[in-house]
Amino acid sequence: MASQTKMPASDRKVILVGNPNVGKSVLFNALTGAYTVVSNYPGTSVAVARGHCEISGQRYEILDTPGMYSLLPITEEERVAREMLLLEDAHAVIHVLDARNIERMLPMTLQLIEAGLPVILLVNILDEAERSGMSIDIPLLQEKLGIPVVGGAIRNKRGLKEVRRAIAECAADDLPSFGYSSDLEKDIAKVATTLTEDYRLDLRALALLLLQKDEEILDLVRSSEGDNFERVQQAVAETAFEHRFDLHLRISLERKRVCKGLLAETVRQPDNQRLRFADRLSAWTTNPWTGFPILILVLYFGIYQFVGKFGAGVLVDLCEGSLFENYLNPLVVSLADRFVPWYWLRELVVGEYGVFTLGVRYAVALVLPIVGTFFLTFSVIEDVGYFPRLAMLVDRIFKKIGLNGRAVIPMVLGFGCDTMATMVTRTLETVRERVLVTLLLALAIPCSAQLGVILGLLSGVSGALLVWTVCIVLVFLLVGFLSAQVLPGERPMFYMELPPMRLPQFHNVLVKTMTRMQWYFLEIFPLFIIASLLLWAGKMTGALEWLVRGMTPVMGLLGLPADASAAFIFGFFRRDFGAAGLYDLQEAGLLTPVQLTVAAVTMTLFVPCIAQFLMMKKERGWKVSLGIFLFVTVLAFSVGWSLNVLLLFSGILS
Amino acid sequence: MKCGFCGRHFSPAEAVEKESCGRCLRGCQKAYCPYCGYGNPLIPGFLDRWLKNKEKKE
Ligand SMILES: Nc1nc2c(ncn2[C@@H]2O[C@H](COP(=O)(O)OP(=O)(O)O)[C@@H](O)[C@H]2O)c(=O)[nH]1
Ligand SMILES: [Mg+2]
Ligand SMILES: [Zn+2]
Ligand SMILES: [Zn+2]
Repeated sequence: MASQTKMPASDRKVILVGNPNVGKSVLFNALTGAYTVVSNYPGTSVAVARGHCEISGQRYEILDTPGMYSLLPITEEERVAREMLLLEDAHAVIHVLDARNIERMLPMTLQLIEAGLPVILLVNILDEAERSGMSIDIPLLQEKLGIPVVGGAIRNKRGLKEVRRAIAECAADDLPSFGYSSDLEKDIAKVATTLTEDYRLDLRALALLLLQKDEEILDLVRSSEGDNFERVQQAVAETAFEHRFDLHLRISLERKRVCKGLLAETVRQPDNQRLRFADRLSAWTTNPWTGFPILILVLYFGIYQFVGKFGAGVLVDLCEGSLFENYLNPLVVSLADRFVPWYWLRELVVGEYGVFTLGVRYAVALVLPIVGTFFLTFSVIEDVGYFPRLAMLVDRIFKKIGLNGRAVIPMVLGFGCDTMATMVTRTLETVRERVLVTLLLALAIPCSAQLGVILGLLSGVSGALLVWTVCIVLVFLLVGFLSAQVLPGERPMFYMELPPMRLPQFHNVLVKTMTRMQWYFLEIFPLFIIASLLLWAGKMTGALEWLVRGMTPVMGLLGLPADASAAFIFGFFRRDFGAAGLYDLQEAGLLTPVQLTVAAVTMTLFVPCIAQFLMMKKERGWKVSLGIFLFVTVLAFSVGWSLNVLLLFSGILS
Repeated sequence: MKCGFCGRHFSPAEAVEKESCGRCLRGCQKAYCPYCGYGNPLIPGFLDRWLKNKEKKE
């Protein structure tokens, strides 16, 4: 800050805003040249650049803001950008957007106009857009928007002169207004008319932000309105309550509709075959009729063939069948026999539950090849941009059958528990809802990687895999049913702008796969070692035998051999560890397909691997977590029992 | 960094502070996207630098 030169008060401020990566900083540099100051925005760690330029004798101060996606801020950077719009008295606000994504970015222009800011729109990166065959009628867009619009490619200095002229001529007298549907306008008016003070933002924009529960704006209004604040708050509460679940979505969709109208004749899309295909594919993936078969194809080739057949088949055979069985195990065993005189130590290293023969072998030879191939598939699918489309597809399919898909995808794909938490806090209104949420949490679907491991290990027995898949789908439907009970209303899970689909980028996929593999390995490896230590201790003290004997009747109920109880005890450490145990049994010819299926389904449902249970205890206390534990255990075993009866009775798989 | 789910950009510093998902013993090692909540893998420094170099060359 020390280097900041004192500027004359007459400098007019020009603020550059827009999404990240649209060329704001390039424009900033082009306008200001060498003399700029970068400093943290007061009270934050967000860097903001300021510089100066002179146009026709008038000096301007240019401010480069951090990227923002909407006037309703979520991140600190967005908050800073908006605060600058609120606090700096701007002569002009230049909204920079990427021509290639104009449809996605134009809604923010509307927001800025709505806020009453003196907006100039810069449609940047036109060079790339034109190269792909897109054309934009800038004068027509300007006419329709009613604000100055400049097209350009600032990196090539194209459009720079026009931007400078627009800044000089900028006069924010009468801004256009874009109407929303009449009932949204009614809601806006209801709130806006209660506001009595003077704000920098337009009252309509303020009302919209208040309706969307913007805390900062609420504070601002609270401090400005004084006694009148209660009236404002009441108006907001009434309207917000009526549209509890869909207000945000409604507003986004309305803006989108307006933008579609604005762009209809303004933008000509490319004839380019490849781009067309990407668009069409994107549409296919989210349409239930085509999307579902595509999903099946993705699962069949990506998961069944690649993870199941190649990972769990070929690679595991190579690692575990050849490397461990033929070379490493005999080597370590003979070393132990030669140099370790004590039985207990030999057992510890190379025994039935030996750290090497069980822990290391399971982690390295069984699980790692499978999660490796799984994460590769996962990263490719992620990089292509399929996941948000999958979320939309699941949401649509679930909605068609009257269920709610909002909870399924985040549970499986590893979203932060915030997603669930919002759901919980928002809806804990009645006892019934609370019970349902608890049930929902109790179902604790394993993360995608664990599902992948189980699925890969089952791939050798296709009947077992099929029945297991059906059971998992049923669980998903149950989750959808429960969350439909908890969350009425129409709001789809992810209303979001879909990022474009693209071919997978090799380096990206590689790095993400390696990162995920490393994380997973470091996560399971110690656990597998500790597990085999404990099992060894159990064996030495006889506690294990006692435990296995205790579980034998339960195994009997499920139609499983006594040997299977060991795998279930493994499963208590982690599902993937247990699944590896089942795989071992199945390889040894100790399980029939029916038994394998029943065991795998029970183990998948059977929650709490230790980690999960401990976390549950920490967050919800002993009582609730024990309750959930008991409930899920009973649920898992009853499902296993019924499945066994059903399979034996119907003769499927036998 | 760019979110693998919604495609938005965010600074990982802001997202990492979130708590574990409850399933990972060592913590999730993920940067949860502030916009959609998706858990993006936190890429270790050396891989990240390698990736940046590759991107620069292209
Ligand atoms: N093709 C093309 N690329 C541009 C143009 N303007 C900016 N870029 C590129 O877009 C990227 C993001 O630019 P930057 O100014 O950092 O974006 P910011 O995040 O909005 O500040 C950089 O790689 C620029 O080189 C342009 O007019 N044409
Ligand atoms: Mg920038
Ligand atoms: Zn995201
Ligand atoms: Zn986690």
